[in-house]
Amino acid sequence: MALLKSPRAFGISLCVALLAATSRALPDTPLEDAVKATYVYKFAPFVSWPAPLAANEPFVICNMGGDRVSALLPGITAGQRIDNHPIHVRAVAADGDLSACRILYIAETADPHSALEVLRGKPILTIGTAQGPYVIQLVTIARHVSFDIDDRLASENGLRISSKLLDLARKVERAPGTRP
Amino acid sequence: MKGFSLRGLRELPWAAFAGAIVLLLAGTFAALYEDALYQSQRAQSALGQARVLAASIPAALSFGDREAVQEYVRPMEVNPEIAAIGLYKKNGRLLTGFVRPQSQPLEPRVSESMRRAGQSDLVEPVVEHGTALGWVYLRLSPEPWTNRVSRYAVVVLLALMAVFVIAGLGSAQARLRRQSESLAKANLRLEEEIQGREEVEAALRQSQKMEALGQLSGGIAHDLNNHLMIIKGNLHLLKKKLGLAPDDRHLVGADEGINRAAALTQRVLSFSRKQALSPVEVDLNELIRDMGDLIRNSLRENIAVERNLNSTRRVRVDRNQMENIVINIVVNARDALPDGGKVTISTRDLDFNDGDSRRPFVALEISDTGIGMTPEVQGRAFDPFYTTKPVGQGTGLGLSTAYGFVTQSGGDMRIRSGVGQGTAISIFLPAQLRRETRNG
Repeated sequence: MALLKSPRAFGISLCVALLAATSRALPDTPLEDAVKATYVYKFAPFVSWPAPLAANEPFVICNMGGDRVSALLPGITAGQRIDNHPIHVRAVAADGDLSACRILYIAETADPHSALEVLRGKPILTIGTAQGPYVIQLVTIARHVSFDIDDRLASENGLRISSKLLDLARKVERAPGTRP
Repeated sequence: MKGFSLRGLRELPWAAFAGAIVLLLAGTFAALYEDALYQSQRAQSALGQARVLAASIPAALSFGDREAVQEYVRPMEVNPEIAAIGLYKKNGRLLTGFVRPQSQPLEPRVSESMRRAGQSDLVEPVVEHGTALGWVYLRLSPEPWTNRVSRYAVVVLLALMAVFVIAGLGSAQARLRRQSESLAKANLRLEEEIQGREEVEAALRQSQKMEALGQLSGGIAHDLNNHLMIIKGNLHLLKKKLGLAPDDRHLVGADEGINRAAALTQRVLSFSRKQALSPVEVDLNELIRDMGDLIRNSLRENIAVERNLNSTRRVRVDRNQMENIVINIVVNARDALPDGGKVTISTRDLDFNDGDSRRPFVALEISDTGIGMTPEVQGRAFDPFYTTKPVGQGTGLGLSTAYGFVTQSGGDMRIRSGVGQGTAISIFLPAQLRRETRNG
């Protein structure tokens, strides 16, 4: 059941400072794409995976298909760490080995359906912009980037999403047994 | 606290003063402790609020949702203890926050100096699942001085009250002690006056008694002496008439009896101050020195004699009578020393007040280390015919004759004695100041 969040949820605005920094680093990049690429790794601290990472393991973000956001991902995540793990961005194919992926960004150009079938039940946070279903769908409304969360799908895949993140989402598909 | 003054404070007993100091210290310590406790509780509470905020806002801060962040911050603006809150993103830049009008503006970037928690501000990191996402900066409002004063005031007032109470008690006690001291002094003076008066009265009674006794016995002795002279004259006429030998046994016996009776009347007369005296100027030191052999012969081997002859003045007395008196007193001393001891003969100058003028005297004191006298005996020692010696050994006329002689010479006599403490007989004679003598 899709719920419309409080008006505050719409208010996720583009941070001017962040955008300025990002656009300086990546010239000729549309602001919207840079914000989306940043969001992809910023979700990580608010999601719990069933198996923790070993101490020396990298945090792997996989990249399926190619669009402007996926092209920005390696640059934007460079030097960032998730719970002290370095971030590795890896390009994968729909029939490739996805076992190391924690987050999978599916570009607009990719054909998600075959991949999504494969991914069903696997503990991977799927993020996309085109037609889902993804655990998190990035949307742009009036030049503002926001996101919808399918908590039911996340739950089926064994992921737990922090209520702090759910509070910020535009729409939340609630997992069974949780209260809105 | 009306009677409280600096003088009272100075006279505070040290215990009360120490008590006040201890109370003041305890009050100060309590105030400081309460202040420190309050500051620490304030800091703890600030830290708690910063942590609550840091735990609430990670997502909103991470995604730069300023409105969402402000929704968390707004309730804290109600708390007047918080002067400012700043939310800093992972890159150190200020996202949002609030500052009270009188407080300093927020730094645009979180800095090293901010992160060192001070007395009134602190920085708490925002962390989600081990990933650092930014910082919460919290600044406390300066505490209104009225709060601080009111916190100290109760303790300070209590301590001051305790100090005043102790000071008041101490000063009252000091005043009481002063009063009781002056009362004791006055009482002592009164007792001394009473004693002096009693002594004067006793002396007066004694002299009145002596006067009466002297008049009585003197009259009788004088008449008796006249009768004795008649008997003696008639006895000589009878001897011539009967032609008796000069050494006739009965005649000699009667003559001796008359002589002894005449001598007795002489002594009674001397007591009653009616004897004929031949006063000459005498140096008492010289007199005592001249009598050295006589005095030593009057005493036993086990009695030592000490002389302290310090008078520089001469007196005017009948020398023979004076010698008799000295021997009499020395013999009394010997009798008071059955087991031996010491007899001290001393002379010194002294002055008696006689109204405004001072009259020079010489004091002769003969003291012994003997058995002493009871007060009762002492009271009657100058009475004629009073003796403590066995019958036949004393006439009871020694001291009374001496008393008569001394008073007739313008002087006075005193006895100082106590049972087991020896006896001192003092003779005071008016001095002749025409010629000073050598010290002896």
